[in-house]
Amino acid sequence: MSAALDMLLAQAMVEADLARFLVLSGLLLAVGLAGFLTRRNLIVMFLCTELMFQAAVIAFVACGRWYWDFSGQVFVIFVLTIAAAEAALALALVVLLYRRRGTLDAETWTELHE
Amino acid sequence: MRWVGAVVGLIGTAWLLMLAGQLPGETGAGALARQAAFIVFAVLSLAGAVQMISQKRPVYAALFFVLVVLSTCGLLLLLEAWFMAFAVVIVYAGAILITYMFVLMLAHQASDADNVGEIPAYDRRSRDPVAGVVVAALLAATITTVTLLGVSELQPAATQHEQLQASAELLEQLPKRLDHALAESDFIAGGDVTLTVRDDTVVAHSGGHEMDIADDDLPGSTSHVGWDLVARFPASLEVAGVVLLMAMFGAVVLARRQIELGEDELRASAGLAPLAPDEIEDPDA
Repeated sequence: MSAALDMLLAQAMVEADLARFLVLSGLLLAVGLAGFLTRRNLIVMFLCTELMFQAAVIAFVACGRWYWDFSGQVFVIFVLTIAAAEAALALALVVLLYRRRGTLDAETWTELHE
Repeated sequence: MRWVGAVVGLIGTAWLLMLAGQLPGETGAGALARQAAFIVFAVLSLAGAVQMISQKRPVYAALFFVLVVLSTCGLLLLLEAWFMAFAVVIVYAGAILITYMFVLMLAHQASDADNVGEIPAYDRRSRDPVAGVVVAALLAATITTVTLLGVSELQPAATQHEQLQASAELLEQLPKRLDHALAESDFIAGGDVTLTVRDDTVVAHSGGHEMDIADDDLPGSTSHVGWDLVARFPASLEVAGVVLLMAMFGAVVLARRQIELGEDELRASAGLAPLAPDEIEDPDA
């Protein structure tokens, strides 16, 4: 009885171990999304996407640790790659846009949405 | 004052990172310390994230993102992802954030040349704050609910035995490392060595002999990541390299300022005297 209870408790502890990382990752993702939707500065919007990348990184590594499968961490390397490429290209575009209008406001570039 | 807070926060986080790397074993005080470290890093990263999206000044937002990255790395250390933790610090906090800082300074300086210190309206007023926060809250609620409900239906976590099995399989593929592990004793490796897991230790068998392999000689998580990267995903690795190269070309082509220089400016930049009118050759002559 006691041994079974111990096993159940241990199982619950281990599950809580994964769950708390995943919940934290989800919360970070939501904060990043809120920032992306509400901020108007182009650079800060891209920073918020980086925040969402961080949330994904936590989820990948936590699940990889759970299954002792290191493709989670390998994928983090690819996330870093994409983040670096995105930062380079997006910031180059932001610099271009800034030179045209002299502002970083995303609202000044809304004539395409009609 | 905010600067002081940011600096103290960064130093404290760095100190916590060092502590997290040294936490002792899985049980007892070590487990408690892990719990405490998780709470500290989780609170730091969430608070940093909220500060980041609510700061008026983009530079502060970037600094708070550094705080988020550092506390994320603390969490990666708790998950025994040593290599990834420091790779993320170096690549994110070191390289990507510096790029952001450069662009921020570039744009900030020019826009505020006449009225220094004034924050532009697009950094003071947000766009559809209610809608954005509602959508984000829905996302957070969905993810949290699904996680808490679904995590008990996952396959069970890898046991210690399975972890050792994976390490033994990897060690069999790394002959130099295996030789090193075996050379520390007088174990004579005659012919093929096979590795099995028995009672939480990895045992090497060769020609009737047996030897326990010390835990320190087993490949750690960094070796596993490296092996998986090149043995399981070689094509992805190549593609990642091509993507980075293309991004570099793209950034250079996009951001290059194209200035059409006249002949006189070109000569001046080369240190030559301007072309005198009588030196110009008449093409018809």
